[in-house]
Amino acid sequence: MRILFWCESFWPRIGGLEILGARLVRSLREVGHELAVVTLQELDEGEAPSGFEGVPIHRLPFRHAIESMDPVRVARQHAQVRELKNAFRPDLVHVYSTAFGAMFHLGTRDAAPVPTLQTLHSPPHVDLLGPRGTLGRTLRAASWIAACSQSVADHVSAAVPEVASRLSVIWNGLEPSPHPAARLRTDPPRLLCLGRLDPKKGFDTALLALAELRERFPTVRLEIAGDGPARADLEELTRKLGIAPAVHFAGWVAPEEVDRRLDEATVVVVPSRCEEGFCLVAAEAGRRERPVVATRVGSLPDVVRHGEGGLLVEADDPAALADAVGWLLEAPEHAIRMGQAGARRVGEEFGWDRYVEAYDALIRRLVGGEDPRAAADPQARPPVPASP
Amino acid sequence: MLSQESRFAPDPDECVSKVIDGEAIIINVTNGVYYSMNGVGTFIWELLAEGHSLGESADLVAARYEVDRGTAFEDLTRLAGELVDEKLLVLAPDVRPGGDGVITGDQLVYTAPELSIYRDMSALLALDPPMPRLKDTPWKKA
Repeated sequence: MRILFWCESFWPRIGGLEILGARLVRSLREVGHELAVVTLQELDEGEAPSGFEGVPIHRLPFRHAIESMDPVRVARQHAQVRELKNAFRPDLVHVYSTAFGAMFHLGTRDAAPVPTLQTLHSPPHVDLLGPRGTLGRTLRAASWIAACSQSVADHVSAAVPEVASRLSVIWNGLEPSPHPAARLRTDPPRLLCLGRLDPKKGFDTALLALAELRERFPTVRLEIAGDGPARADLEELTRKLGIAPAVHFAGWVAPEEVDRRLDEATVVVVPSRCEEGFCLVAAEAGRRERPVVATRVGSLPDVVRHGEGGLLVEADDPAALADAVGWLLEAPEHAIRMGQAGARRVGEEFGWDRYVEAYDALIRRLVGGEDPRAAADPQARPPVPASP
Repeated sequence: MLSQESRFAPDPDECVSKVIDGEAIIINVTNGVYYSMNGVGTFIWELLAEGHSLGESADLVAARYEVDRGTAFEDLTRLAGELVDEKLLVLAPDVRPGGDGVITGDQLVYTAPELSIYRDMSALLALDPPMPRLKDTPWKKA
């Protein structure tokens, strides 16, 4: 099948979505599909790679076209997408991530009237799901919607009941680690926060919790790996709390480096205050046998499971976060047990082969005009029925 | 109340527009809402923006497309109402079209005009700020 893979942020940009997207492109190609990627071109990307392992990447300046409020520039982008669709002749458009650029897919559907498979990685805000909004229209126009977790599926089927019959869950997947996990190190205790430095990730709560923990564990360290718009504020908070010697801002970490960083951690902290659609970091931590202390938001309770792969606390509660981390640091046997349980769960439920097989089957059924429900992830519960 | 004689003009304070390759892109510059139309919708946008009345436009649509005048007028009135509601067109009883709008050639297949509205672009842009510079990302190996 010829798949136009619409992913508005793609390799070499870093993030859960980008890592999953690039790996899925690779795997779908390995099982026989031909792909082309459409992604966003930002201002500094004149020399960005135009291919990924033999798959062409079309980087288009959607943001500049929209921000310009210039109808000529917008129309030019429509024309470029239409030309691309005419040239590639896709059997299916897989919209793997949706943002403002979806307007250019919606506006050019006539150039390739083929099924659209929409993947949802996070629960869109209900205000954005109206029939006249870009996201709402994208969902309603999709032939099928694959949610990355049950919580995302439940959210969408409640907010847009008319798409509930065209919605299934394909839990995100992780490729197996090439190396066994290192033994859990507890001295000195090391905490790790990994991800985009965005206020919604709640890393400020981790800093506040660290300040409390240092009274009980003077040698505890926190590494914050990632970059983003909240970095300056987080560094400022670190200074204000007087904990700068205990905190290391590592910047972006290449995906191939992530296992090593996780192996160095005693506890992985996921203090999100947003509705995480899945949280790849929490699953990756499990895969490396690291216990996770996470907030009870979005899909995190499904991915971590309280008392199994780690502990859950309420969002924006530094004291509760400090208590949970402290409990694990004081009882390393529990930390080890939870790390191992997390690894088992990731292996059993979030495997990569299952992920690729589910997408491959769904794509073939959509293109072949068969009922996609037969290709649904067997691990998924049916979405919550919409309210009457 | 719109009638056969109603005429319009694009709102110069609110909207900018361009028709390229049969697609009309219209932007409300005051609130950042984007609109697009194709095919019949683009043709109607051009007629109304040139100052043709709804009645004249219905004649021209029925001449250009395989559609009866009554259906064309009904669809035109609905679309014109939407465009006025969205503050893209304003009533302009005194405007007159520059040309006669003579239609030549074979009739085209008619599909009811649809105004695509992208009302949330500003919110989506705000939700998805520009990513850090690519050259600073260390993921070099695919």
